[in-house]
Amino acid sequence: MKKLNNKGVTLIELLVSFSVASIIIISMFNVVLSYQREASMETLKSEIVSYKNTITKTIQNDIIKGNLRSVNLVVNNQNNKTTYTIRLRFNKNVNFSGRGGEILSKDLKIVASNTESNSNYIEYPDVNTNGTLQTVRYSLIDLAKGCFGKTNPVNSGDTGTCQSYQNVLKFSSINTNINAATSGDLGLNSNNNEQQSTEDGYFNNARYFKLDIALSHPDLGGDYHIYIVAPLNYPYCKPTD
Amino acid sequence: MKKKNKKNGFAMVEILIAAVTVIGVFSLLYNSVYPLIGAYSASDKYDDLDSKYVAFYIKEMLETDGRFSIINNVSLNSSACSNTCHIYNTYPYKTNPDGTEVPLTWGVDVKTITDHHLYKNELCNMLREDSNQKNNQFFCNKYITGARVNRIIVTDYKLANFKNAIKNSNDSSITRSLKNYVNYMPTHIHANKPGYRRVIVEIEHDSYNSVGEIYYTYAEIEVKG
Repeated sequence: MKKLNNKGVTLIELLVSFSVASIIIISMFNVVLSYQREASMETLKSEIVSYKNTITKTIQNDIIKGNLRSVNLVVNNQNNKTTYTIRLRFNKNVNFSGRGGEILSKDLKIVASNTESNSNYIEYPDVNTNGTLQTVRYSLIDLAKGCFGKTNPVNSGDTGTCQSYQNVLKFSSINTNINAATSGDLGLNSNNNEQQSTEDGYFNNARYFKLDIALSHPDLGGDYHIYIVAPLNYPYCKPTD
Repeated sequence: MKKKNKKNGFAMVEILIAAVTVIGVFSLLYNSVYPLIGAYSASDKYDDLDSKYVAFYIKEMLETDGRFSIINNVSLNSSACSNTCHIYNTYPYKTNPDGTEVPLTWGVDVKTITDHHLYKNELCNMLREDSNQKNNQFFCNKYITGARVNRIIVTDYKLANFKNAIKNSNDSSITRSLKNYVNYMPTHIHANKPGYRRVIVEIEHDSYNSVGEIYYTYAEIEVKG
């Protein structure tokens, strides 16, 4: 009598193995999704750090090489947007291009909006190769498309909008020690003389400029700030006795 | 004729031993890698660009005073770091109408840092003070107030002894965040720059995530005496 061939698998064995494999795949799927999200978050964090470092370095470079002399603030609230314009005046020329005329002031503009996703940006002029100022815009919407967590961000660049506002990177607070209500500059009065500071109740020649811009996103775990603190009219040269 | 006794497959004991070995190896790997994740996240607050600029301005104030070698004259005699460093704290004070200064206690007299309170730092007080614009003492104190520098630590150029002292310190002023930063710093055992010292700045920030919470960022810079 022929012996039966016992090779192969039965139906029940097949069903059980498929069930076990499905359970494993479904549980791994969630793990993979969470790591994907984690990777996207790290990309966004890395872009934010690059963004803030670029802006900080550009402004601090001018402050140090140009020897910041005074700052003046104008605040404008219009159409659900707040615009902070900080005029930085320098003791020395900040035109390092080797062409064109002397540049002794630059305007730093910060625009923040709670309702318009494409209206959170910083503008700070750069000196082009011809020695003239050209405005450079550093927009938050360009970071990870500015619409992290949302599907189908519409367009890149400043004209893009996000599908839903809630998950957009924005400036959550802008703090500075310049009082916009004062008529004169911090560090300079209307007669172009050094202003007597009343910010701490007594007079001295030493003043500093402070700017703290906080960047926020609901999914970010940390604090990201553009934090610039610089002395005004600081004498970098060694004094002679 | 002998029957051939084929034994395919694994015994239960063999499977158990292999499983225990694999689990042990993965546990070791996990214990090695997991602390690195925390250390990487914390390194966001170490030597970040903003803090480096604050350290740069403080370095400028210390180096351009010009009158005498301030940094090299600092005695590294703080007991908190076993005499391998000097820790300069920043304390708030107010000026009475008669011109005398009264130190205030943080947390009791002063609850929040506002611009109208001045904070003095003993290191700044070693700088030049005169009536003309070359007024490093005022610049230093004012700047440290504005930048919210909590502490300035001066130490030797080579960091091996300092790192060891901080690691083993039980002093309450050596906080966990400072210990972690000092642990993160390289030792510079082969570097040699006579006349130079290192300055570490600790800067205080308000946390966005929790109201009332603060965190610190750190930066280190070489300063010429």
